[in-house]
Amino acid sequence: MVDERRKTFVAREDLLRALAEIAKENGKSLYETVNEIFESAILFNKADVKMDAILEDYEKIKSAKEAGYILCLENLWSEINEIAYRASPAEAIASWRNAGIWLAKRHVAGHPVGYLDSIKDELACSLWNASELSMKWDAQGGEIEINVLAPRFSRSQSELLASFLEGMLSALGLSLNGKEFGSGFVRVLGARQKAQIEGESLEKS
Amino acid sequence: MRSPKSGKKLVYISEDLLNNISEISKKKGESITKYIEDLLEQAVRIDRLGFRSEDLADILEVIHVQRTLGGTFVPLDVLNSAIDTGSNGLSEKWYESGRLYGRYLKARFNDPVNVLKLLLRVMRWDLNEVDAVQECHSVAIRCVSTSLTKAGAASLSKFIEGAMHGMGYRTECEESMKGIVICSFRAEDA
Repeated sequence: MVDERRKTFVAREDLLRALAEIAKENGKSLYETVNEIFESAILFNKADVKMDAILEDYEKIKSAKEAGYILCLENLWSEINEIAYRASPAEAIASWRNAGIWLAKRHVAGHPVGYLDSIKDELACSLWNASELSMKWDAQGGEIEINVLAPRFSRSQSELLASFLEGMLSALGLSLNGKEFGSGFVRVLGARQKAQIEGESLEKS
Repeated sequence: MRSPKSGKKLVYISEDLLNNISEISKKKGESITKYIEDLLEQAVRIDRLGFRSEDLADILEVIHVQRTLGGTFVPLDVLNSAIDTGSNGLSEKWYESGRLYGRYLKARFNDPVNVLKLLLRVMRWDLNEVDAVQECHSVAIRCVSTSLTKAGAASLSKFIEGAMHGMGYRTECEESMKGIVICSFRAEDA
């Protein structure tokens, strides 16, 4: 501790209650815990670090963790995919397709209303190495268009991502209306069958 | 977070720290009460995310390492499937990737082994336990996970070995099997 002389300050009671619980869980006193928070804040200020930005990163990592992702070096990941694709294209494509199906089912179950928004958020978070991602949908017509631009993606990586998105669309009950991919880009289009559109909107189905 | 009926209470703090915080809030043009309230709220949010306040600086560094070296989020199921499918050519890639981390950690941190442990915890949350015990010039690393496949354990072991070699250690023993990786290293210059 920097200095043992103490002062008091006024803080919100609910915050102090929450901090007292945290202190107890960590086997520390409230005094120690608050001091540690202040010490971190001073250090971050010296390093010109914005706490809000860190929290955003933390929350991104936590969401990714809960969604079944891990962090891996991008170039290693590219090589893993290339090697797996060369060894067995069908297996690699099936594995990506299944991951897409799983993602869609998880979101539909977790967000019965607004699952397309949550899927879009997850894609934006997990594809942070893509330079551009757009996902548009028309609830009336039941059409979805997804475009990804990722200059570092090889053709096979793009094909794997296209399979992932295709799996995702199929789990959402959409048929594939178009699929294009090549080095650095992927575009998939999904549309609900006519009979389905007549009965219900995409988000409510 | 804020409860409408929440009152205020006095709390003790080190005088020196409070003076420092007061200086910072002045420079930012914020009232000290508001600034402290924001800090405490952030601390509670961080705890709810499952981290401890003293890990903050380290985790920030891990995120920085990931951004610097080019980390990306990867679906674990796809990774496991790819490792199983193409395991023949992958070992060397994992080793080289680990070496890159090791060299970078050694250059940037005073205690690179500890940052590697943290990195594994943050990057590989599929692992139930990550231990890195340092004793004199030796380091013993143990990773345990109920979801780790045999090929996945071999890849992880190669990654760790590459990282430790990148930090200037040599392998003393290495064992990987389904669910567990155990390895120990000794400093090259010891």
